[in-house]
Amino acid sequence: MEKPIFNFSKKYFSKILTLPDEKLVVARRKHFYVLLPSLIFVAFFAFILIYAFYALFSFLLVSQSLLITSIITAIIASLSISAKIVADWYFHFYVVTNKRIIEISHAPLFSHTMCDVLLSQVRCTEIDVKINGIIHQLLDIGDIIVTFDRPTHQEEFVFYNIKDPREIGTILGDEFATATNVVNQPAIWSDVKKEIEDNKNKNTSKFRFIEEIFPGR
Amino acid sequence: MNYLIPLLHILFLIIALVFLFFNVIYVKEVDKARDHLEVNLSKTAENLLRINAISSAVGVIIISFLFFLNI
Repeated sequence: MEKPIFNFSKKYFSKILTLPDEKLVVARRKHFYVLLPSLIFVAFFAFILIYAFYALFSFLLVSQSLLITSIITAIIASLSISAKIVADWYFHFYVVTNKRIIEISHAPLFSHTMCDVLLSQVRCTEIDVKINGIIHQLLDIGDIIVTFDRPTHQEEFVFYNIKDPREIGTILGDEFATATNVVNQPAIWSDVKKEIEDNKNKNTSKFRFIEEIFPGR
Repeated sequence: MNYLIPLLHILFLIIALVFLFFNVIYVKEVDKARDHLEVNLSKTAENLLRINAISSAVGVIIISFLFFLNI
């Protein structure tokens, strides 16, 4: 087992890791790069707003105090929105333990979402790592798509914009294989074949008709 | 035109007060979330949130001062 990957301190998550013998494997939040477009947009919007106020209160409705007031208000608003964007990013993270996967998205004052997948209740069929674009390649950012085969339907769990997706994908693959005992289980077709051969030898089949898919093998 | 400038002053003051109120509650909520999720904000991020709330308060004081100066 490789060394666990965190960008959190290991002493945290005692309130999240509640199952017996649950151990933390990976704890990650999205890369800081994902914040940049939103922050740049806010800064650009604030700049446009300040420029508009400057034009309005310098030429149309001349008032020095109103100009200062409006600029201060625009700065306060843009700083508050930026702080909210950063805090939302900070409280959105993925935690993988040897028992489950948890996605926590907490926007203080606004919303709280917690998505929990128990690894014992699902079968992981596929782990895809996707890195798109030059910037993502350079910064080593990508998505990890984990496909689960649930009793009723197939579902995907996506880790968006994670740093070191290849390394984490490998760790997740190992961990899920261990958690669901896939490594030790024989493939489903080998069970069927063995049963057919056993029934042939005993000549006491519990079924009336047995049709071999590949006769003679 | 005479009443427009004080009205705009009041409007900006209300907006700044709303953001100040939001920032103060937000810092408290972030503290609560940090305790609940046991995820510590870095000192820099925590200080930035507090500085943001304090700067909003300073901004509101300046705006109110300008408003009363203009009346």
